[in-house]
Amino acid sequence: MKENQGFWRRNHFIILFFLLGCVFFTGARRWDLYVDPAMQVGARISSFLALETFAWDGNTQMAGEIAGPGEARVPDDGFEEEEFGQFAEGDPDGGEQGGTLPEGGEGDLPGGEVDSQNAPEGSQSEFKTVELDYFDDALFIGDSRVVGLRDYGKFEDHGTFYAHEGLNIFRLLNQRIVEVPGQRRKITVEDALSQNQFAKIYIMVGINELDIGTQEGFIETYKERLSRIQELQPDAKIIIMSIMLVTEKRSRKGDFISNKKLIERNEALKELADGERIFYLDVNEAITDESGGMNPTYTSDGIHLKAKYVPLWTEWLKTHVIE
Amino acid sequence: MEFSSLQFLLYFIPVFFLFYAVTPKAFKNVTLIVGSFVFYLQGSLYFFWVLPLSMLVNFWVGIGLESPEGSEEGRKKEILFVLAAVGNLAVLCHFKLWMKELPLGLSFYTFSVISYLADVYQGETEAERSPINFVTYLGMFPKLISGPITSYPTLKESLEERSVGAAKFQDGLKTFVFGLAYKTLLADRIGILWAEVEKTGYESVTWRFAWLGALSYAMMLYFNFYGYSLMAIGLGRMVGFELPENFNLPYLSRSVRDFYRRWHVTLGLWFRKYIYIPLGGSRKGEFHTILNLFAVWLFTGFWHGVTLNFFLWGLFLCLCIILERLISKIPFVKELVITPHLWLWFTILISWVIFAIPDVRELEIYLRRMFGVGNPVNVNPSDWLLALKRHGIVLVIGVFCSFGLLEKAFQKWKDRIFMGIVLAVLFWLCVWKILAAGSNPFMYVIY
Repeated sequence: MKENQGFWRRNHFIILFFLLGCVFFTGARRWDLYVDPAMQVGARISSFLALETFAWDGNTQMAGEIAGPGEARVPDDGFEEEEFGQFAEGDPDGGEQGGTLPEGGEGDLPGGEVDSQNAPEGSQSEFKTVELDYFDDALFIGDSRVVGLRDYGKFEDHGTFYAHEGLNIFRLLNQRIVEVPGQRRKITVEDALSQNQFAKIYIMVGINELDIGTQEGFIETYKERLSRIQELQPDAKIIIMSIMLVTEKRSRKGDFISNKKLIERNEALKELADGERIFYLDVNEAITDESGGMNPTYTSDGIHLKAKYVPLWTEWLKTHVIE
Repeated sequence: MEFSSLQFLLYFIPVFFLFYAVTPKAFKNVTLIVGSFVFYLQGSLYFFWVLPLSMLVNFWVGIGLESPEGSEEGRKKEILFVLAAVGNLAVLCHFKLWMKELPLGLSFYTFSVISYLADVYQGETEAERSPINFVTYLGMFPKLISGPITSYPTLKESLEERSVGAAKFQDGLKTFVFGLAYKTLLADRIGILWAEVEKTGYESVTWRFAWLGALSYAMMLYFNFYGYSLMAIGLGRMVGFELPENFNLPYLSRSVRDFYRRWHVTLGLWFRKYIYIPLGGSRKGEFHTILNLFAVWLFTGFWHGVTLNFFLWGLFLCLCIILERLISKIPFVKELVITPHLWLWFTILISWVIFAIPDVRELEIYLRRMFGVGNPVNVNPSDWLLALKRHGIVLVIGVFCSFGLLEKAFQKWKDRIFMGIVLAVLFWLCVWKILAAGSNPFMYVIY
């Protein structure tokens, strides 16, 4: 008994450490972090034992096949699978052929030839130019780029912003990001939309969820969110702003952000516009250069416009109002 | 492989230490070398063969430097030593100046190996005759990539024989968790504020926001590097070595000079022992002392990076230190209590800004904004309030932690069970944070 106590005293940390680890993996439902690699190793070993006589090349190939479809491993994040499981299936990110911008995508970014003939898809109307007070009854919903617009877009008292860093389409309506005067707890965009009415609603999200689920899942969810917003704001005109591209340099960095994916999403977003109540605005016209991506002088991290250049966006919006 | 990556925490640590534990004592160094090699190869493979090759050469040079005394021999030894030291530095310079990036860990490795050669040359220690021990000394994964720079004599005995066991392992693990928490929960979180200053653009920040940015950068750097050093020391203890402390609450210093005796201590000692003292230190009069300080600080700047801002950084700190030397001769200065701390924070924050911004034009804009000079563009006057609202609490926690109370509590209670619980919870909290960041390599950076 005494010895046992001594053992516990001496080794309590490592024991606690392991116990909590078990609690953690169970609670977070992340045992796959160990199970998957173990399965892979197991598959490799068993295929090695079974196919001993084969050449080394053949072995590794077989191992890959056994481990692949059998375990149905989700590439990166397990939580994605749980939360957005319905989109996690199928072709991840709609195929990954080719590293550079697709021809079509490039042609889609008119570098400089911004004019009113470039009217939004599915809309008969021309753009018109307005003053800031046009935005008095406008709402902007979006991620950190829209936060930038709020803080540095020179909107002063015009317009309302429901914007937050990291906002994505999945949490668009139920993340508590809207401040209510005299109330400590923020409310969700959904609640805010059922309390206040707007005439125009500008939306830009789509970069934070580039690595979540698939293209189809993103668009499906976008569609759902749009129809919910329409329900809550029957008189509002909804303007989908194209997801702002990043600089070509940032795009080539090799993480989950790439202009190729962003352009694909924008192409699909364009299709959501009906020209009557939902419109599509390609704000990339305002900030891209001949490289196809965001103009590098406008940004220090390749993603966000510097404060100095955010007014370009505002000015562009002022001259691209859909009647 | 980063210490704070899932790969390291969830796979490398358990697998390596399992092997390490079952390895018989005589072969522990071999296991450590194999583990270190695996660890090293998980990082950047850019010129990964440079370090092993250099170890091989330096091993023989070390033995060559040791041959018996004699006037003829002595001259040969001197030539060999100078050649070897210059050669090692030349490799470092070559990569720093003309190549795209450095082979992993080369800066720290070069300083370790030069310290070894110098110690052998000066007869402070015998050369290492076992290649296994030699490679273990230079290449062990706890200190391979970012130090602490450890002199060979401090590790000599442990390389030969050291005690490892459950007690030491757990003690080391606790230190490791402490460091991991600093890095993951504080440094990465505080860094967001600095990232916000960057993305806003320096020409558009208020002077308050500029100082907040500088403070957040200072805290981020501290908890990043201090956390990393703690993790290294912890891992070192887990494999049975006592690596030297690298930080001693620098932000409590009363002068810049003091600060750099407490910040990255092992680098400061290296410069002192192998540059400053050999140049004559402070024994040759005021003028020589100042020259020597210049030499040390320019070299320090160069070691950190080759862009102009690092040169300016070294120069700025050197001027501060010289100024402190002069001022300290005024009698009443020694009695001041608060002013020295204010002076320290003021100068150190400025120095970190110089350190942080490689583009000198941008740097000028930032410094101007800090002092409210020049024409700002599209400033949001309440930017600093927004920043405080979002990051104020974590920034205050950071500053509080830099005062060393947590370290005291840790030392005092680390063997208690409740501290064990706290640390174990912290570890899994860190893992959870890293997991939540998912495939996003910038843990907390969300757009």
